[in-house]
Amino acid sequence: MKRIVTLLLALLLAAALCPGALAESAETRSFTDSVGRTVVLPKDLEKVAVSGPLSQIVLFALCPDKLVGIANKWDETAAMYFDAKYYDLPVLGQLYGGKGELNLETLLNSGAQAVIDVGEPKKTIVEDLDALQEQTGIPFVHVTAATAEMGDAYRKLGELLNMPEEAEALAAYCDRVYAQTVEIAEGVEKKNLLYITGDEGLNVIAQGSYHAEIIDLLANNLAVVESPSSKGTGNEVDMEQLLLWNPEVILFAPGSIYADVANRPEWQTVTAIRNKAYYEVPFGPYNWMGFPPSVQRYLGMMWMSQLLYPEAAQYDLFEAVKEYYGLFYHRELTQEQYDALVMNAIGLQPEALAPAV
Amino acid sequence: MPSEKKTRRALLWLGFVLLILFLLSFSLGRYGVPPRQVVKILGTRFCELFAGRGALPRSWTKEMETVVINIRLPRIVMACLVGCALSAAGTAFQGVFHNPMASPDILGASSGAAFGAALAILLGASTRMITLSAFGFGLLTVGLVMLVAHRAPGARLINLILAGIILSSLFNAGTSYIKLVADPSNQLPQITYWLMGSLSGTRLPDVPLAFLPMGLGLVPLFLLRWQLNLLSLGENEAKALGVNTSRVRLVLLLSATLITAASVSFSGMIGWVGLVVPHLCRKLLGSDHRYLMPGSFLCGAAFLLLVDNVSRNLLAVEIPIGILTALIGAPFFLYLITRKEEKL
Repeated sequence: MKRIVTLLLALLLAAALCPGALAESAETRSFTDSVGRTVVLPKDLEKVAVSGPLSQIVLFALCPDKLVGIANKWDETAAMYFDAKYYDLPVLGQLYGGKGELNLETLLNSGAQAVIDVGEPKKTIVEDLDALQEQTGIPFVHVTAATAEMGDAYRKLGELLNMPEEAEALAAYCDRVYAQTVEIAEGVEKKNLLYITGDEGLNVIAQGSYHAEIIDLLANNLAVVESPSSKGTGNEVDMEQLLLWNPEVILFAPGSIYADVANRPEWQTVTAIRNKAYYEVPFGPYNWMGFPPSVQRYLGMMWMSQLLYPEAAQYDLFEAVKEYYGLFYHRELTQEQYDALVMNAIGLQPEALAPAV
Repeated sequence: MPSEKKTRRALLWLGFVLLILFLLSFSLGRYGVPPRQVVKILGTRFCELFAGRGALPRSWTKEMETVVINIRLPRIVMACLVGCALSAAGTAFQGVFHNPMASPDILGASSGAAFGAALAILLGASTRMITLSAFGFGLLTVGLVMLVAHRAPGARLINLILAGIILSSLFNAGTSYIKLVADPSNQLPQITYWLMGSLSGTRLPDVPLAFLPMGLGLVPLFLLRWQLNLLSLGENEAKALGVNTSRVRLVLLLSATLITAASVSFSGMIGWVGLVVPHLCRKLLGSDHRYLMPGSFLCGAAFLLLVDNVSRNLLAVEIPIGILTALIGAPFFLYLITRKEEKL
């Protein structure tokens, strides 16, 4: 009996020690991610998988050729802006916490050397990633990215993927745009604004919500509600409340009532509508204001700064947007594509009937 | 009704089918592992467990071992456990309530567990806490149902069903509210995904954890199958035959609840199994619970294992198993009830 117990104990010990045997060697290196987990990675990461749509957008900008697949199908409009080989990347599915559509065997089959998760860390992130890593034997890495610190996130990813120069180009772009946006925001008298969503135009993105980050930064977001919703569709409000807020400028989300609002009598007393100071947020391949809230918010910042404060934002928006598409989507943006993107977003000046620059 | 001998033979066949399916499942998967390697990996692991050292030199890659031991093994065992538990619970509930429409969620265990899981996800709890919360709320709901039914005057069985319906809808409303306020970028999809039911998150350490409550529930169900026969004759007849009906019923209901709550908390909501498999077994084995109960253990395990194999192999992206059980179960059931009686 004693011998069996000893044997069992020895077995247990051996089992416990086994994973620890994996250590740094000539072909590997260790990397500490944003939540303090140290993982052992191959020296050169050539194939990576992403954990969700946010990681997908962020990593597509940095290393499109290293992605073994994507978490969700790209939006259809992406076909216009992306190279076909990227648009047709295989869909591997997404992870929600521990469970998910991401088939672990498909993941192993894809040959991914690491899985990268980018975004705001969940409370249980360390535990979730450790468990997945233990189960699959593939290192899982989390890199935290918030709108203001996108540059640092790219630098971290550059270190992870051994692509410091490429990452620095993206990081510098993010830092520059963010600094410029903050400078503009600090130097102007902020306009009273509402960002309206919903197919009846009765949803607002309220002040303080995660989705209102750039709106709150660049304008005086009138939508102050008791409990700002964290949903992309925002808080529901009624028409009376909208009339009370009476914004100077309205931004409509794509798919909201931009096209139709001129025909709605109840809206005609709103200052923004009366003065034709209402616009539709550009969309392609994602909403520029950020659904999902990822790097394309930098497009939103540049566009909004110039739209609201043309005196302070003295730059060529087309060039700035083109630079973004080149850097982040790896394709040159044509003038026609740009015009279509901002068609309803920069307003037709009544005197010139030409895009304001 | 088939003769006893035939029934026994059918039961043996069921066990055989399950065994074959169980072994076959290890070589199915998106990651190609040759069947010979699968056998070697499993054999070596088995030897390591019992003899203390591997039987064969390693001729397989680390990835193959990961796939077979860490990904396939826990899922296959969990699919068998959950399928077994759900159909056993279904059989027990159908017997106790004399009602062929009874399914494991009749006393609200699933709705309560769903609420518990949604709440835990909303609060950002860990995977283990989500499971625990689901399990706790599942038991709590059934506890409340029993309490309400106990205090209400009138027929006990009807009261139980009514209280189950009422509390289920209360907890469903709670779940809907949580879905409304949950963060749509990651909590809401997680809740939705959880509610659809999936075995995709199953890990090796989950398996022994699941064994405990399921064993606690399955053993009494197996032992009390003769008493269940008497209960399904009717209250008075059972009493006349010397069965303490209320105590037996309580034990049966508690056991069935325990395994329902346990399986829902590990796998999410998987419908159909608990309703269809008992019927299927009745067609095969007759309605004698002495054979019906073990039959539905085996049949439920085989059915869910089969469906989970489809779920993880059909497409590159996983299909939630709760959707598949209905998609596969419904037509199969239709065929079964419209088919003319024939020799077994």
